[in-house]
Amino acid sequence: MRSLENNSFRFIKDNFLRTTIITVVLIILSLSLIYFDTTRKTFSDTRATIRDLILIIASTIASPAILIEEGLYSIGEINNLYDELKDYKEEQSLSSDIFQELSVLRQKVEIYENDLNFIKDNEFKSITVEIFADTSNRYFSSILLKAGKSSGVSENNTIVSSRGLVGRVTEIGNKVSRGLLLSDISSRVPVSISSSEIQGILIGQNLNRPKINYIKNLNDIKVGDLVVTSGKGGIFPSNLVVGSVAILDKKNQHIEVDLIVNPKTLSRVRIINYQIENRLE
Amino acid sequence: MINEIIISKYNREILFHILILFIASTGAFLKISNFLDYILIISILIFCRNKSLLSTYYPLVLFFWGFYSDLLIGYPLGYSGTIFLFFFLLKEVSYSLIDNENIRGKFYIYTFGLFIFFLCEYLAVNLFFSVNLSLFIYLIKYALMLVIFYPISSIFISFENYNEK
Repeated sequence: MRSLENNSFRFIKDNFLRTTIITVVLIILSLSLIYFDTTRKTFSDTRATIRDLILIIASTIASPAILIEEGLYSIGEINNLYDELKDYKEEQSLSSDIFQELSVLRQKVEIYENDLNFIKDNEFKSITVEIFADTSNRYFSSILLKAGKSSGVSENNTIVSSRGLVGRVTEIGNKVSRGLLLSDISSRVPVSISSSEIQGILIGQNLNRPKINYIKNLNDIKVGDLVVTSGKGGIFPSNLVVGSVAILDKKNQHIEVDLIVNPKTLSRVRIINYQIENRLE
Repeated sequence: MINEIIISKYNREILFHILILFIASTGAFLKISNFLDYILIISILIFCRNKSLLSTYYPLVLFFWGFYSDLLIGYPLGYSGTIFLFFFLLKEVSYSLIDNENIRGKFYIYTFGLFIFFLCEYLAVNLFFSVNLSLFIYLIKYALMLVIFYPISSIFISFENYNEK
């Protein structure tokens, strides 16, 4: 190290030039890597193995900060407890009625499906996993899940919560995997809107609400209409609740969606093993 | 004892990299605000730092820290490295224009660098992902970086200069 320092003093101009050239070459290399990584998803296995190792180091280093954050979160939760209890008591009286109604509806649907000889496509194998960290940042929204290959998780598995769709699995390590959230700018989900089943593609916009593109007819859509997965493309099962239409601008053909699930409030999610090739086997 | 640790330039070099490691690791787990960008905070430290003992190997080490951050946060490989190296290059250029103690001069150069970076990033996001992100959100993020630049850089530079003596 000492010799390096001496060199830098003796040949200050050469050293400056050398450092600048190395930096520029590395910037070009980094930009090429970004391009290859976003278009081809290269070195996914090696990447997952290294990431598993890095996570152990990072979680150890960040453990004091995590502890403080959890403590502050708990204090906030205690503050909210009274209001939540009040809401819960009010909801409880309603929920028994809704539950009755849902049971009746479910029975009816089963009868109709049997009458039509309909292939049941909504029974999936699933596992419940803990969210390890929310690594959402400026453009990229993702979560780390405490389950990987060893738990049977595979790429493109669907992530859901009790309310609706959360995202899909994009990277898998042995014990940790990464879930891409619907708000990520590279997230694309085929959806259908309202009972008239108007098809479109939900595109993440990070901190903004996701938008829906490629819609042919906006006349039958209203603000508040339910948005669900269409099942097209074979990655997501159909009829998973995504959210509701929040902004509808018919003139500019622009729709934004309020997502039903806020990933920040989740501590556990369910991973569904749904893929069209598995269903067709 | 503490003084000895701070004064030694080799320990200072190690401390700087531990600081990067700590900020990058904490950034993945701790969410203070969506507008607070840990990568850009590291970039301020890189920009404000005096010469590294690692000399020509320093950009390579920054490239490595970029990899570490990308793998941890889930960015495309090379993303953080590009930011770190860009601000390092900007620092190297600023050396020939102003001296390291001139915080105001550094602030203007950093603002210029941030503006260039903002333009490149905004165009890349629009072209590659066909997404129009809110300009307001962008501006808040960058404005926040400019706000925290002064306190971070004055602490960092005075610490570095104190130990240079």
